[in-house]
Amino acid sequence: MKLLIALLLPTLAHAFTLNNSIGARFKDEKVNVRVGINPTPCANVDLNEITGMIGEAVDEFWNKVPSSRLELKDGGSYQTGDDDFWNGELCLIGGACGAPVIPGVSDIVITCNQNATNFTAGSLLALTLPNVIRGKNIQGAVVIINDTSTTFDELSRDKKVAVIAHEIGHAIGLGHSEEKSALMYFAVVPKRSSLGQDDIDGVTYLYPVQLDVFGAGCFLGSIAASSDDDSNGPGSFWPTAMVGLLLALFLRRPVKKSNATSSLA
Amino acid sequence: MTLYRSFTLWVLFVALSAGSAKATDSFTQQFKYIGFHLGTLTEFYDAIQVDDQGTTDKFAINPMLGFSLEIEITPDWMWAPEINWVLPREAGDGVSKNLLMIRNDAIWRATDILRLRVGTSFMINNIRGQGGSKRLNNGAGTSEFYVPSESRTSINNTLDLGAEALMDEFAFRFQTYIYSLLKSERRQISYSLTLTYYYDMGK
Repeated sequence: MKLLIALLLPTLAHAFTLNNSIGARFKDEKVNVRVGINPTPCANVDLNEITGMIGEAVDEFWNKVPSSRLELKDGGSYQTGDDDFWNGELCLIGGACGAPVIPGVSDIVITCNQNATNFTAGSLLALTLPNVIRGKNIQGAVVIINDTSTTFDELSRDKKVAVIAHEIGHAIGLGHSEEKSALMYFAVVPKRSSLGQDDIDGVTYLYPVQLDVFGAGCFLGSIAASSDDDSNGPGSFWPTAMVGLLLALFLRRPVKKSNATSSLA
Repeated sequence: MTLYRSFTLWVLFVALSAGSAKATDSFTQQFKYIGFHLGTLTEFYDAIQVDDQGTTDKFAINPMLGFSLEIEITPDWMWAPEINWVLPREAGDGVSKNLLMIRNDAIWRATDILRLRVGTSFMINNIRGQGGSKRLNNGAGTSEFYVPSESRTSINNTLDLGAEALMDEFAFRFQTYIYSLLKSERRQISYSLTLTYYYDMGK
């Protein structure tokens, strides 16, 4: 009996988590991922190489989930002030410093960092600074790659891509998973080929698509796509109902008479 | 609430169809069968990593129950509205997933034992959590992470292709569900294996 119940009610070992208590996420469904270029080259990180990896990190992982509306894009680069900033102090050359000046709305910025206060251990590869949040929306996020040691630089290209994709996961609102199969697992695993179930569930929870018809986008406009709160799926019933009714009417057979006695012949 | 609404929609949908068929005064001649399904769903074939070695999932056991109606359009064509429910998947920390599939298939009788299906589904995927937090490894120590506290639902429309082998009142079906048909970078294919019992309404 227990086996039957176990078969009928499969249990996920662990679940995804969020990096903030309110389930904050980007308001826009299109988010740019940019590289912050410093005037002083990074000591141990090749930012040009990072630039070439962003497309892979978003296309091979986060942009592959059809149940998520989030669309990450390679947004090019920012020119940043220095590479020795502390939380929230990343700033544009000639611009004011202090959160949330940069990144702007809907931007994730990836750059190198040499501030030992950020990297309490040399083994840390990268980290995402606490997201800038207003209300329930993430305004922007900064990912910093450890430039205090050569740990990141010594990774293979595939693992660097996975590290960047992991940090982008934090930037969009996800926390860690206890599953080694998940990209959001806290450590680098021997091989990373795609997202794990936890990652897919997490990005679907944060950015649920609202009636995506064959991937053509949201139906009847962007229903709830820019809403601050789509818990319980507001807007999902009526579009669904309308499509169902249209289908029903389309497929409905014409009414036939039950016999031919009314024939004029 | 969304699942309830979706179910209401499906009932409305079938009721409209039933009304149409009833008007022909040949209700039982058109409503041929009621099908009861038991199966398993594999989501996103070959696209979900399942270990730390890069292995991806090609088959999964996600039990699924459902039922359908079959309405005869012509002797070789049937129309089958269907509803399937993938049983809730629970996580230890209060997160659960529910997937409801509201489906429509056109069925073509290829031979006496083989039927081919083309149709579409609304995949209504609900994820909910009970909130709270947990301390997890963060590389250089532990940090507090948060368990989702809301119920959120995604709805995808899929193109479905399937084949069904008939054995008396039973059938075995292989059914695919193509997500994001028009967007190649997001396109994923799920599939289900289903055993169906057909009750003949003409009996």
